[in-house]
Amino acid sequence: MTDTAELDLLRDSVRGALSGFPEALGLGRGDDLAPGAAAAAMGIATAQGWTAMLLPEALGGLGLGFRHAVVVAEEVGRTLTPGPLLANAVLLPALAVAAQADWLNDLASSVGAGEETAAICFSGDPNGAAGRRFVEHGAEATVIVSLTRVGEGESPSSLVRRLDSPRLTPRRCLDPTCSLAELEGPESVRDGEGCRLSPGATADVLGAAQLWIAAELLGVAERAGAMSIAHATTRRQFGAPIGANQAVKHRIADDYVLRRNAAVVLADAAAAWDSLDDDRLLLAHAARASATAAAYSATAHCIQVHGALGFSAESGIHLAYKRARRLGCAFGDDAASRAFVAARLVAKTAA
Amino acid sequence: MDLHAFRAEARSWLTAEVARLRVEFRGVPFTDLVLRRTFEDRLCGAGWSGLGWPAEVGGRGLPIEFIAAFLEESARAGAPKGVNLIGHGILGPTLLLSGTEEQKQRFLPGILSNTAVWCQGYSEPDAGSDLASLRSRAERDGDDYVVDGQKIWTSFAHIADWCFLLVRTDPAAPKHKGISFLLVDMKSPGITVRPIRQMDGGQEFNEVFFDRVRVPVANRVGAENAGWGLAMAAASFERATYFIPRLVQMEEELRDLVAESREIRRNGRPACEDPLIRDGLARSFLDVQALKLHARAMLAAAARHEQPGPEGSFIKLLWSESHQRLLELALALLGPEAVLGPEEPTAQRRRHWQYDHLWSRAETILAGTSEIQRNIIGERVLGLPR
Ligand SMILES: Cc1cc2nc3c(=O)[nH]c(=O)nc-3n(C[C@H](O)[C@H](O)[C@H](O)COP(=O)(O)OP(=O)(O)OC[C@H]3O[C@@H](n4cnc5c(N)ncnc54)[C@H](O)[C@@H]3O)c2cc1C
Repeated sequence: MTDTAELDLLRDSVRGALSGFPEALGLGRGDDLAPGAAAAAMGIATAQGWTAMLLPEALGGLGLGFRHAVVVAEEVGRTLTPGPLLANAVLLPALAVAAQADWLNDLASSVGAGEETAAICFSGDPNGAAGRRFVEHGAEATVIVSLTRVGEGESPSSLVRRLDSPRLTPRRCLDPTCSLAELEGPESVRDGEGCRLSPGATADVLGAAQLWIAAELLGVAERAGAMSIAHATTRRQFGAPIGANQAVKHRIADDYVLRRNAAVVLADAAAAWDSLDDDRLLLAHAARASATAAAYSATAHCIQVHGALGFSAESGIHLAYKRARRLGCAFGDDAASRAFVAARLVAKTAA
Repeated sequence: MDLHAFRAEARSWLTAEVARLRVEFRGVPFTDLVLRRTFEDRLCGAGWSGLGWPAEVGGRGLPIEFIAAFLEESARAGAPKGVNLIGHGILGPTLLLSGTEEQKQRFLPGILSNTAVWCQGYSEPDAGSDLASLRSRAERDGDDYVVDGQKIWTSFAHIADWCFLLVRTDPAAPKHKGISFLLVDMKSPGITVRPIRQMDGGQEFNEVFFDRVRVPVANRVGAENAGWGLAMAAASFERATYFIPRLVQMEEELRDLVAESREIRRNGRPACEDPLIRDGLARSFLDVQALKLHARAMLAAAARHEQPGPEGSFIKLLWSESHQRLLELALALLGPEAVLGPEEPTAQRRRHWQYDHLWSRAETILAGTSEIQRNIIGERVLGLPR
């Protein structure tokens, strides 16, 4: 079977598995995320093997690569599926590979098998407001892992630790499809369950996060783009579909080009990642920056194209916008990714 | 009356009242409708409404510079926005210009005292930008009209006492020529209001259904089928002062954003040292500066009673889009903290940036979308072909 045919099959099966979303979010009237929606999504993820996808075979995983993972992530984004997939399907396997520590290997295997659900608190982000630490889906997780950057420069190292009875306070998230908690107070670490990651290992873990986030953002952008096209085609004002106006049509066309750009850059970056290409980190960050641009633009325009309907919470159009914003400030941001790309480019010409 | 003395009096009243509000409504956001109504009631009770209205109807007969000064001071004091701005700014002036003596006596006192809150029933599910295609019907039956139809996005309809409504009274006439302007008691039998939640977490706009609602013919403003002209005139009343509080707010937001950028760290340094953030702050300054100068010119022209120039159409466009850029920058500056929702209290921050950011998405839609503004600039200001 050719590579693309295999990925198309995977996409179809992911679509089938997630066909209950976004309806199952229960956000139709602008209410709260349905209790259990995230857990249901994680149940699907485990049953489908997505939590084991990137885990090495030696740890009971499927040993697949990012060419597969980005297909899943894009559909997760497109369907606004909730749950800590980034933490469980991507970061834990990446941390296990990077750290080579028994406790992390054990944790990653249990997560892969669906026995535990982890949430990961990333902090010390040099682009962030000082101090406050947030954990996506922290309240539903059975395990909280903290990943803390050490040092501010371009190649920081990091600490990865499993927290012992962390103090979590629920917070309302900008993105209604995600539950959020704030980690407060000093952290206490489970005995023997902490280790330091080298700058190289840290960059690899963060690079993996960029690829997943890029793919989810691309999926969100696809969703918003499709909604804009549908509305511009059916909504009539002044006796014609609003999409007949070039102000509307050209914007939708520009957003399409942004998405196509992001899609090819992402596919290339995923392949480079899997083949351990020297430029894989640069390409992963390029993909994130590119997908963020596509998602910010498509989701903002989706609101604008829908007029007041886009501003209402009942239409669900705002969910794509808010999800893009939440993803946009997780594990860095587009500006940080562009800065990373620039630093690599400059370093390469110096070499 | 001297403008300086007036401004000083306004400032001291506003500062004291905003402080009082913060104590009485501890922890309640200034977007809360009860808080906003309370403040607006006090403002009206203290004689700050009808500043430009003639004394005969209970106004203070002040020139436009005074109104501008009061709006500026309100924004500087951080006063909450009213819930009856539509009554004070749109319906009142419409009645002053086109209402009968009986209508003025009946409706203006309620606006001045804020005992009657008004809403604007223009938009319909199928009539947004193309407002003139509206289909809600009013048929004559003796001394009444009988109204059937639906309005949508009607801000404050759920708390309003009255609604001014555009309805079709002559379906056979060309679309702009068969519309009338009616004043409807929101307690009339046959009216159903359904609130609609907004993406900023608020709930201000509504759907309003009219099922055989009887409205006395005496509640029609202007001639039958002359409603479109009234609505267009109404839209221009506020034009000279509409942006003043909004620009003051934007100026204050920029100042606060600069202050936040000194405290928030980015790449291990204060964010204000990051060239990207600095560039964004400078761009916002350029926007605010140009807007202020345009607004000032527009106000001066209005004070000289000149015909409004083209500023109105491009200030709306420039203001709404540059405001979105400023609040875009605010989220970038917040970094991971941007993930907090608009419902979360943000004691550590100078403003509720996430809420303001989300609300700003409405500003390029309401009161004429950006696309419609560009059409107006292109066609009516520049004379480009349609
Ligand atoms: C917060 C809020 C409060 C509001 N309060 C009120 C209220 O109190 N009373 C009231 O009556 N209404 C109110 N409105 C409604 C507002 O007036 C309408 O949203 C506005 O007129 C646009 O109409 P629409 O939403 O139906 O969008 P549409 O007209 O359907 O427009 C959809 C998109 O198509 C574009 N478009 C349409 N025609 C053209 C064209 N010719 N060329 C290029 N692009 C075009 C628009 O720019 C927009 O991007 C409110 C809206 C909001 C968001």
